[in-house]
Formats: sequence, structure tokens, C-alpha cells
Amino acid sequence: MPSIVFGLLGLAVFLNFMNLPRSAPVVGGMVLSLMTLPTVIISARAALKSVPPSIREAALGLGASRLQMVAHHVLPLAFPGILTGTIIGMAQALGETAPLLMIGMVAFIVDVPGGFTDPSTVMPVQIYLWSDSPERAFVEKTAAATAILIGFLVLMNALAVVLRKKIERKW
Amino acid sequence: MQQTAVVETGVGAQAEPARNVKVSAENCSVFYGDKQALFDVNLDIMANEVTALIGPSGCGKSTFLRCINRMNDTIDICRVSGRLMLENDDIYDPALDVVHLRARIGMVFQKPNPFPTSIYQNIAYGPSIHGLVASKSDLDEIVERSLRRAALWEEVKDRLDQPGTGLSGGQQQRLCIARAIAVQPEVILMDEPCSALDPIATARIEELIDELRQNFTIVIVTHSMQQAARVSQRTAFFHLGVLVEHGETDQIFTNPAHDKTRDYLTGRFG
Ligand SMILES: Nc1ncnc2c1ncn2[C@@H]1O[C@H](COP(=O)(O)OP(=O)(O)OP(=O)(O)O)[C@@H](O)[C@H]1O
Ligand SMILES: [Mg+2]
Repeated sequence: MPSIVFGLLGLAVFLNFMNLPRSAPVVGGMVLSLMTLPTVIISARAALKSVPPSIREAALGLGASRLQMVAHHVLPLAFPGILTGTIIGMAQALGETAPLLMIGMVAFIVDVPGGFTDPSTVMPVQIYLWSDSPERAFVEKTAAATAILIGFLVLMNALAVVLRKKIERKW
Repeated sequence: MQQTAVVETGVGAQAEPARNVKVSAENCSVFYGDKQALFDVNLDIMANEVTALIGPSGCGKSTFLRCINRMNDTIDICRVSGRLMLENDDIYDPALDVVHLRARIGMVFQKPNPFPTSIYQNIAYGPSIHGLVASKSDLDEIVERSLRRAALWEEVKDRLDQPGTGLSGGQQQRLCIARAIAVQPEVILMDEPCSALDPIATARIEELIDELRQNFTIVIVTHSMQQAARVSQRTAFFHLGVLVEHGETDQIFTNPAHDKTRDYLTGRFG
């Protein structure tokens, strides 16, 4: 689904219907959560499904309740997969601009935001704005911001891979 | 509700003094959706005996076994009718706690399925969820005793902290048996416990089953006639969801009452 649609949804629901402030990080966060939810859900489902039924049977056969079966066996085994999905979802949200345009997170912000409801902007939008500025100083700023953004993306994806390798169990 | 309760007490009173029956099935039928898999099975399983369930593939042996500890509850489309009693308790009584039931009736599956945790934790899990232990030393003792009883202690005592999944197939199956024993069940159900094992591992498990009989009641599903003859005291022969005949293993093997049983035992069909 095109991410701009989530921006429209956020605009309609969070701003117009729920009357939350424009350009606010809370709203941006909620819109991005909605957008990454499918990724996270799909990977979590796949991870849960990949736990072999024989393990579930073993737990139930020993007299574990359903809750105990899930908490003690299924979730720990599915955890690496769920974690990977979550990190990838977060990495995806990190570079997203389109849905945030719709909720007004493109304004030129002078002050450092002091809270979740203060107007603010996001890194990709900031890069876009800076790259447009004719002043010489902004070239470096743009480059630095881009480097930070890419660095973060690489870091998070690497973290996902490492964690996955580390806690993954084989049988 | 009221009526069933009256009938139950009547049957319980009737069955109790007769013999040492551990589990009894009366008119037990099982349906998977519209398809009936078991037809009015009546079978008494005696305490401290090994009962073998034999019959061709798809005849409902596993289905019957899984009724006894209500593992069939996990299959949505599965429906059980008739009555199953564990001593004087109705297994399908809605008021009965399934968790408690499964603590009294343990199960060993066809494919060894140890948890991907350490050997120690595999055994310790059951006792700890049922609150059978007060201290770490109690738990250590249960782990050792269960492993000894399952004839696995000598092989794994130096690597209790290593994953149970790293053992050989036969060892894994003995680990699963030890795991079941650790909960101190009264009955142990085994669904083709040796089908994934070589003859030597199989022989060890058969020996083990014979020893376990002193403390537990065992029901074993097997495809091997020799195995049924070797380990069991009683045998029940199923065919197409019907319990064709049951009785002393010697009698079933030497002098079966039904032609179908004879044909199956001599390998004429199956
Ligand atoms: N989960 C299920 N859903 C639908 N039908 C099932 C299910 N499990 C078993 N059956 C059907 O019930 C019948 C009895 O199956 P069951 O597994 O009890 O046979 P079995 O005697 O254990 O066979 P085998 O020796 O091959 O293990 C079969 O016809 C099977 O197709
Ligand atoms: Mg079977």
C-alpha cells in the first residue's frame, strides 16, 4: 500500500477527527506505527507459525495451560523472528517522508521541540528542506544529515541480523 | 447434566469392585467434523499393565489414545461422545481441570519432541509448572531420578546443561519419557514411541517400558506385532475405527477370536 495513504488516514482521523495538533511527533509516530503495523504483524505471524506443532503438543501433553504453552515455549521460540520484523519495520519508518507530509511535519521549525505535541520535523524532511537551500553552509548540513540517516538504517538492519543469528535456535 | 451425574455414579459403583481398572472407555465415539473415526469403543485398561493398541494405519489408534488425555481438545473439529473414566473421574467432565488431568496422564509422542532447552530444563519444566517442587535440590533430585528411571542418566549426567535437541534420536525419546515421568503421572500414553528408532534403541525403550509398568499404567500404540507381543500384557485390535477384540496378549496372539485379528496378525492385510 502506498505510504501516502497512511498520511491521508492520519490527516483525516488524527487531525480532523481527533483534533490533535498539526506537525506533532505523537501524530507522526502514530501514522508511522499504522504504516509499519502490517510488516510487523506479518513477520510476527510467520515467526509464531514456524514454531513446530510438536513443541506445542509437548507442552500441552505435560499439562501446561494454553497461556503457559505460549508464554514459556511459543513466544521465546518466535522471539527472534518477531524482533527482526519489528526492527525492519522501524528501519522502514525511519526513512519515510510521504505520510508525514500530509500531517504537516514539513514546516520550517526554528525551535527545538520541547514535548510530544510541539511542532517538529523529521530527518528526511529536514534533509529535503536543506538540500533546497541555496546557501553554501547547507550543503554540508545536508550531507551530514544524510550520513546520519543512512548510518542509522545500516545500524538497525545490522542489529536485526546480529540479534537474529544470536538468539535463533536450531532443531 | 443432572442425569449424566446419576448414570456416572451408577457405573462407577459397578466398575469399582470388579478389577483394578485404571482407565475405562464406554461407547466412546470420535468424530472429526462429519467423519466418524471411532465407533463405540468399550475398553478397560488395567492398572500396572502395558496395554498395546494395534491395527492397520488409520484405524483410530492415535485417536483413541489422544482421547484419554484430551489432546483431541486441541483439534477444533474433533468431537468425543461416550464416557471415559480415569478411576472414578469422568475425563470429559466439563468441571474437570484439563491441566490436572494431563498431569495425571502423561504422553510420549511418535517423534521425539524435546524442548530446545537444556536437558535439565526439559525434565524440570513439568514439575515446576505443577508446583511439585519447593527447592532447587528437590528439583535436582527429580531430574536425576527421572533420568535414571528412563535409563538415560549415565549418558547425560555430565551435560545436563546442554540442549536436549543435541541428543541422538533414541536418547531424545528417552528424554521425552523422563520428562513425562518427572510429573509423576499415573498413566503414560505412548504413540509409536519407537517408530523413529533403530533396533538397539528400540530394545532399550522396550526394556524401560517393562520396568515402568511397576509404577505406571502404560498404553502403547505400535505397528510392530513383535513389540506388542514383547512388551504388553493386554492387546486391543482396532480396525476401521472399531475395536474388534481385546484381551490378554498371549490369547490374542495365539488364539484370536476374530478372523480379522488373525488375518492382521499373520500379515494378510494391513
Ligand atoms: N486431525 C484430524 N482431522 C481429521 N481427520 C483426522 C484427524 N486425525 C485423524 N483423522 C482421521 O481419523 C482416522 C483415524 O486416524 P488415527 O490417526 O487415529 O489413525 P492411526 O490408527 O493412529 O493410524 P496410524 O497407524 O497411521 O498412526 C483416520 O481416518 C484419519 O484420517
Ligand atoms: Mg497414529
